[in-house]
Amino acid sequence: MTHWILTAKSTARVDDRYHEIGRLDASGIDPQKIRQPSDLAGVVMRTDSSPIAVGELFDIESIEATEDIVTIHPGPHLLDRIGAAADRQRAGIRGGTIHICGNAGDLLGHRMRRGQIIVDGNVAAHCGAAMIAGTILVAGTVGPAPMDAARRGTFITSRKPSLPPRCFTRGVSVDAVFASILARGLPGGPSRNLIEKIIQNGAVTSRGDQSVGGKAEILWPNQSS
Amino acid sequence: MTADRHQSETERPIANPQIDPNNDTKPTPNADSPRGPIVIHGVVVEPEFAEAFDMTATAIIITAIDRYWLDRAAAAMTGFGTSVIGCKIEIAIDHYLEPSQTPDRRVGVRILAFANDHQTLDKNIAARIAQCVLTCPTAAAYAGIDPTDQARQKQIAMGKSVRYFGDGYQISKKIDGRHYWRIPVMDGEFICQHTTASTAGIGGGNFFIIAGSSASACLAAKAAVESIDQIPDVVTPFPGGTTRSGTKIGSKYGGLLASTNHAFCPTLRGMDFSLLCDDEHSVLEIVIDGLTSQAVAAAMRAGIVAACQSVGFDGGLRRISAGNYGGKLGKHHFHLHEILR
Repeated sequence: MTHWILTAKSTARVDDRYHEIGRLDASGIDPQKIRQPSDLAGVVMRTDSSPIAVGELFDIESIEATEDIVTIHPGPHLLDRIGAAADRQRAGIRGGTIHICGNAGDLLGHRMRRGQIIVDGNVAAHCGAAMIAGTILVAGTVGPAPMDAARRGTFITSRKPSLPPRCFTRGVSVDAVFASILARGLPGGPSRNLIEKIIQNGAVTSRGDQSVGGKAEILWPNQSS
Repeated sequence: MTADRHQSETERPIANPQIDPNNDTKPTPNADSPRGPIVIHGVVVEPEFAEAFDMTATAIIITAIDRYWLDRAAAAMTGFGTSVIGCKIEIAIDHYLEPSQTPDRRVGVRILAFANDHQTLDKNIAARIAQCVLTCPTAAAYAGIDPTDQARQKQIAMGKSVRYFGDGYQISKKIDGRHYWRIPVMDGEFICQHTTASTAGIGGGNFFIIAGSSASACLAAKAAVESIDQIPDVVTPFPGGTTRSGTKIGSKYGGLLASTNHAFCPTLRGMDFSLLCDDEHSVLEIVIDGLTSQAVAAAMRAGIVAACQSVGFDGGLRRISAGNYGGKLGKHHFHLHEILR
């Protein structure tokens, strides 16, 4: 098991393409498919302009760990489709943890199958869309249509997200004992603080997406406590 | 537990064991035998040995919202689990856990369970989790032996079996390499780890408290068990950690695996072969199961010393002995004198 740490290279160290890049597709980064640094460095992040590899944008470090983890310190550009199903793939990540120390783009965790995605910052639209299972934790704000068409899985966020009517159940207060277990594997920082808040105050949970027969759950801290 | 002693009349204990004049709290050798008998507070510890057996063991951690519900869950989980003879498994509380020591930061208790084979343990633990912990308000169940430990390949089902109660609404989570189930119940959700690991254990460590009265025997047994409770990785599964119904193998009635250990029954003295002296009117047996032989030996030592110190010969405690089958059945022999020296 390896903990891979990706740190965005300073703009001074990359070529001009870096400045031309729009948004990046990170669906090729799968914690359980990386065996050596070249596996990760060679992952192509498709862009609107031209393909660019992970190794061109990020410095890569690795340390031994008890589980497969990828920690990403993103640069100024948003990474879309983190942990999501890549082209021609039925599912996104199937295990391990992806930890984003910053903001994330659209379709985070789209069709993810297992594992955890932790975002210390904000996420854009369609977070957890069509999620099959796993856990997404977002410490910041959440863009439109989270958990759209989600089947199963857990989405934990800092406040009640805007959900389409009749697709998710009304929020119910719960004692989130489960959050205490989740906290054990979390690094310190905004995500850990969110979980600690839930442990302390309890949570509100909503289930859906009922439009697809989904049993996924969305949890946020109980503000009334 | 059984205690079929093969002692001849000539090996019977002396009626009035020598009293240590110093009333020392430490085991005191006496020059009467090659290495000397051991006398603690005037109580003779016989040169006997406890014969114990290989068992399959596991550990479970139960947590709950507070000590009240924790005790209810633990009592239910460990109920009717005194002896493999009649209960299939032997199960009891090892020790309580502070919130900082449990997976979900609530008060907890570590329970140890022992059975003759893995299959029996697996079946009974799953049933007890389902009937005793799943049912108890706020309770949760976790592995007491890390199931991800590569050295421990055999697993005991917990949530693996109970999850089906969720009727499709159960949620599977893998966190930090460990697999949990969240099962919706009427007070929220029951959290249960997928499996716990099994390990080799030892069942049947024991010693006899032989006293002049039931009151003295009970006092000594209570002190012994309280002392044993401080030793990790051991349990005393009988009521109060003690049994009055020590057994011998077999019976005059066909089909009974065990029957009363008549040689230690004071009311049968004079009717049949007896191992009791005239002034010995009550015998209690402390039975100890443990995860290692070191733990069982430490528990026996702690229990014997505590029993002797708390009651002593003056308080009515007469002898300490142990139960065995002549050393032919169990491969673990805990010699009382070796343990105490």
